[in-house]
Amino acid sequence: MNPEMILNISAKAGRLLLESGAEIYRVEETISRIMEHYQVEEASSFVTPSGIFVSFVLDGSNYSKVVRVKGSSLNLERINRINDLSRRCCSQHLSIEAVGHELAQIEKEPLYAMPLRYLASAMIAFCFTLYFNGTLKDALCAFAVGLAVRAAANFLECKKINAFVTITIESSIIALLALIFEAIPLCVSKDAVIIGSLMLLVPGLSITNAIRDSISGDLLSGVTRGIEACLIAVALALGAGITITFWMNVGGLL
Amino acid sequence: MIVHVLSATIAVYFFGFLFNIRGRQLCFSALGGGLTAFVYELGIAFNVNLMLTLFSATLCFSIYSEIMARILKTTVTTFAISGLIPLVPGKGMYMTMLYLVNGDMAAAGSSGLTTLASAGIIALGIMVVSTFYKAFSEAKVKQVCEKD
Repeated sequence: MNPEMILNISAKAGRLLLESGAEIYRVEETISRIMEHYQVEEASSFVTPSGIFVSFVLDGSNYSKVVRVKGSSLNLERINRINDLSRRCCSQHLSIEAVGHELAQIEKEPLYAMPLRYLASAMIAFCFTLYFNGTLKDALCAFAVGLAVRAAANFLECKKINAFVTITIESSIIALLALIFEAIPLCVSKDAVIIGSLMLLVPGLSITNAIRDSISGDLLSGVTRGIEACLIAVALALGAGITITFWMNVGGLL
Repeated sequence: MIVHVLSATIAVYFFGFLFNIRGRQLCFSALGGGLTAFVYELGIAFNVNLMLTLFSATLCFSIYSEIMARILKTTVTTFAISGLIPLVPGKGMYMTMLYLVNGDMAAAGSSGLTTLASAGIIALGIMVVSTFYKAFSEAKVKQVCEKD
């Protein structure tokens, strides 16, 4: 039994979970479950949204590791797979090598293909515009806006721009396109288009995780993610707000 | 109303692509979103108080996601996040901002407070279900353990 390997693999499982947007208690539980399965003593893990601390005792020596985690994007399939793996690790008595091997495989699993993600963004904007009482024309405009937002998101992600600036820019793109569409006029009401497309950016994950973390007693992370959700909401309003203000003041002169 | 529920269901289905939900779970998470939208629309149609409507919709999708997670053996988050989406007060945020831009402070204040209250009541709904479900399932686990 190689203690370094147990440490590395359990920490890696934790890192992958945290990066995929899992709740804190799930990350801690998974790490502890994997470590305890290999009969180490005093297995403990402490997880915050930005870092993982793992330690255990084996044959009288202490082993510990710190992992810094930066940024997270939602990948629910990965959370499911790792969650399942950690349970199977206990029930089927997998060797630590097998767990490491499967983790490497899970890490390599691709996301949905890019064209499909473009289509998804466009369809989300389309459907939510209908949901918020937009006409079919509005919804078609929102379809185009959805495509543009996805393109902008990809570009900004490549440039590694921070999340709040990204959201501000995306939301101002949404507002600008909607205003242009209304001026042409391609759509009936800019509000329906903007609200429908903004649903692409709302902080659903942060809200859900903030609540779930707070319930399970991880207040530190609950507060952090709650503030994240508020900041995202502010960034959303800011981007659209600035654009609309500009349009109303400058557009009047044109 | 049918259009609303259908469009919410399809939108949540496509959100699954962005969240990387695979296979069967994709359909069931979309159904969860549809259920949320249905309960919400029902409340609106019968002129029920907005907060009560939001609360019952949240209760419905939370219970649905706890049950589906046990049946499909996946994480609750998969369904909880999808179910929440139709309720996120994106419209409230936007309207608040629009009133602010237009300089209508009274309307902005009232719309902002409603948005905050909506977020709060949704949080409360998720908390209630998840707490009770935990208590309930832990009691069940204990029974099983004692039998062994």
